[in-house]
Amino acid sequence: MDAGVLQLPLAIKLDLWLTDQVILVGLFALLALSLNLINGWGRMFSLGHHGFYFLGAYGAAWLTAALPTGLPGALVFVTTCLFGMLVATAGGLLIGVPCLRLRGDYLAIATLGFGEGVRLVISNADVRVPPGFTVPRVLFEVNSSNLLMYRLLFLGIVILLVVGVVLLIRNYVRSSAGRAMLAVAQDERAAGLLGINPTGSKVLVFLMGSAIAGLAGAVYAHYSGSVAPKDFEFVLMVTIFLIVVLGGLGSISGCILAAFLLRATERGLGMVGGVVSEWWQVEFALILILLMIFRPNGIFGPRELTDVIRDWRQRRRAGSKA
Amino acid sequence: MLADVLLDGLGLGAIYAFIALGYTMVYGIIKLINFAHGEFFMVGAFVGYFALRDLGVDEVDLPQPLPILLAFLVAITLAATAAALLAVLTERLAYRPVRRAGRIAALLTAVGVSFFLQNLAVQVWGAGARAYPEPGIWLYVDDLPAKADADYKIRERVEAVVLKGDAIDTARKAALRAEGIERVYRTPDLTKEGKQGFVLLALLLWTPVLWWLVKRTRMGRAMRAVSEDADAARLMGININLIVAATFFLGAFVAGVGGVAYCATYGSVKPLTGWIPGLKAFIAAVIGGIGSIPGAIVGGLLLGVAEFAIPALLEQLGWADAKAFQDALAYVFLIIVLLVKPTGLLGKPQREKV
Amino acid sequence: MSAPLFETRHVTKRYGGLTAVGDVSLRLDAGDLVGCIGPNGAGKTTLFNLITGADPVTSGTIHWQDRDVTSLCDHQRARLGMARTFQNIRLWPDMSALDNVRAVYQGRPGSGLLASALRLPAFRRTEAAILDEAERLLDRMGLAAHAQARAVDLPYGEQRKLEICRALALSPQLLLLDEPAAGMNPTEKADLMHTVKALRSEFDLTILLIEHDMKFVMGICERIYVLDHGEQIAHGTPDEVRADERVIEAYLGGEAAC
Repeated sequence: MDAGVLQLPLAIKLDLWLTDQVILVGLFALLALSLNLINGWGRMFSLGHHGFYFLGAYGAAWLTAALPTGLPGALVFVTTCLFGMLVATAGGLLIGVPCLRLRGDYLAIATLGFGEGVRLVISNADVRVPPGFTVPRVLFEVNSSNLLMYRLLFLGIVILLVVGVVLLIRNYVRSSAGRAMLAVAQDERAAGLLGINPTGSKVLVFLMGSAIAGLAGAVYAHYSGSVAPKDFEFVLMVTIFLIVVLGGLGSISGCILAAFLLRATERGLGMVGGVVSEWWQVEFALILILLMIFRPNGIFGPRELTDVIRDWRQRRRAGSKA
Repeated sequence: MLADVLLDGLGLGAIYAFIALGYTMVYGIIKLINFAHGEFFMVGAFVGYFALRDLGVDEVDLPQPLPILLAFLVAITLAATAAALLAVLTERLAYRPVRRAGRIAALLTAVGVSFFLQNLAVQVWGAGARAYPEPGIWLYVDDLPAKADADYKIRERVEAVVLKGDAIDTARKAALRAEGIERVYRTPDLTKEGKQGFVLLALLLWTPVLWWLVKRTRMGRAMRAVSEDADAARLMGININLIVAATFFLGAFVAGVGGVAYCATYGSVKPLTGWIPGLKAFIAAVIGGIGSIPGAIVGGLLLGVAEFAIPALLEQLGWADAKAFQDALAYVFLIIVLLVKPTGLLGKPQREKV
Repeated sequence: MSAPLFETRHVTKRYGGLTAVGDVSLRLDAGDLVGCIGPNGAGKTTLFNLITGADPVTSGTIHWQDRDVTSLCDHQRARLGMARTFQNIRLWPDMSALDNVRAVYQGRPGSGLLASALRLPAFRRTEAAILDEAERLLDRMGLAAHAQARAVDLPYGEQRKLEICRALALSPQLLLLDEPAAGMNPTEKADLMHTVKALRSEFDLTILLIEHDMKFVMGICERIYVLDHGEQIAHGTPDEVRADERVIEAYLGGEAAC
């Protein structure tokens, strides 16, 4: 990051590294949760989530650069994050409304096209923002002495967001709107014939997913201090999907656990030696394929961690009685 | 101007058609978007690259320009076979186990395979682009014309030995022989237009062959039966696994041909070569009507021409940035077609039962 | 004469050259219990799909309390008060029996996204009311013990009952039952006959049912429409229909082997 960091004591360097890792895990958890909303609970096959993350990050970065300097940092931060979310939601509306009528595979290819297309167009065209640019630090000026503070602040923000999104999803799935969404996901024709508007329900959940992804992108832009199209390539989509599948389509705790697991695995592979770390993308793909062959419903399936623990306890109790 | 755009578009469109054929055949039979299809294309292109670079078929003494054609023929055959074998292997190892696990699992597996092959290629062959070899002609130093009509090189060296227009008198020839150079290598003047014409010709030759295979042979009838109703076909004694494998083989074989053609036309190959053309070819297949062979060809050509014609038109109308949107055009096209006629231009309508 | 609750006027459905339903005019007054019979492939389920908006009509119109509803789509028609069950059960498989019923309650105050996410008082009140109503319906159909079971895990007979339960949750005026007795043994059928009659008076329903089983339809319906090859060949009381020559011919001709 900066030169000063190199001279910091080891303990602080470790703290810095750790907060960085947890923040990234948190952002991935947000992306995975929002994708899970669309693909897991909603059973719509979207492959364009990296596009919404990209729109959120670029929207926030663009507005930060465009706003006059001298405004209070917190205000700029909140405004730009909301703007990033808005841009992503608008993107969701643009692709969702025409395409959500499409069945599975076609939706997948249309959303994939959207995710890739958005990035290609913005990196090809000079849309006011040069492709890849620096986001000013709006919350406070960062130097080597307060870098840890900065990261802790973002850690707080990200944890808050994850908690908020978890609550949102939990409450939504257990509400009348959420049940309508689940019904549409499981049998659209039957849902329509029983008075549920399938399109409305699908668009709603799709927009929720894209808004959350956009918010995560906006926070990422502020945290990393720069955005570039190469940070939003298809590998990102594959990673998010891997987390969702690993954690189980339709499982909140599975998503978060899988985000940690994946990051840890990736770092672990990286630490074994340079040779191994270069192969991580190949290994990721291999894990995905093997997972699909042997556990197509993820580690827990649609269950939550609490369900798994309860089942396990019951089984153990039953075992001890016998 | 118009002719240029049309030729560029048709040339690219023919490549899309080559890839789209495999997509459409595989989708027709097991309803799977085989994302890895673009990677079969890429692997084919790489195998063709090594064949053209290392095999030296162009050194065979034959009257010109037969060695070039021979080199391409060998390279394309090897590339197509390699791609086809890879496809069969992929189907056996990755797709067959998930065929009954639901469509999301299958599609995700396909994404995984595509990503796996791409990154494996990056590890094995490096991420960078390599210049695609152009098979040339070997000439004995003695046979060189008095005035060079092209650049002549020695294969192992990159730098030109004799540049086009240089005089080659007896002294020059003696100097070359003194260096131990008996023969020099001459790249042919294959223009881009020529190559595109070649690709179109290849498509023109392939289409009836495929059409015949699918419509007139026992294997083709079995393929169509499986795509109509796999369970009924199984009860009729058709070996589904064999038919699916054959479809993958055939589809990837055609993609391998397209891979060599594409890379030879555009001059380079890299591990990501198959990704974007693959995606666009799938879109072309959807536009033409997925599952339909003529649809794949019509869709491919249409998309290719549109990708050149529409930005050119917009530029004429005064929008300087239009080229930047060339890559996004296919997706816009896709969405429009899916909304207006979801079964594609030549697809069969489908109905859901209540 | 007052306006009928529901009417189809000359509805026709063609698939390519095949006429699945041809010129069927059917009329239901409030409180009717009407059957629709016909041999296999007579177009009964297609007619249901046209009525509920699952398929668009080729020609003809559909009227609800004298209002032309032909252009409304399926969920709009359902909201008017038409609920149906399905010949091959279409429950939401991974949701609990209770949630299958609860999902049908939509558009009440406090069910918006914001209220749901924040668990506002309006949301809590509505949820409590929905839970109460859903539990009462499940109890009525004898499914209370299965409320938490996943729909797909229920035995076949219970799944059929849950489908009726789910349809009733829509508070319909018109209930459309698509082969409700399919796959049941004689005792179960007798039970179901009793239930259908009881539900009509309890919930003030008008019922139209498709059935294959002649005995079942003759046993409970007051009027019967008979379809054959998509055409309406007879209409009347069970006795009239039983005596109709075209009906006898259609059934004996079509199903002599049975």
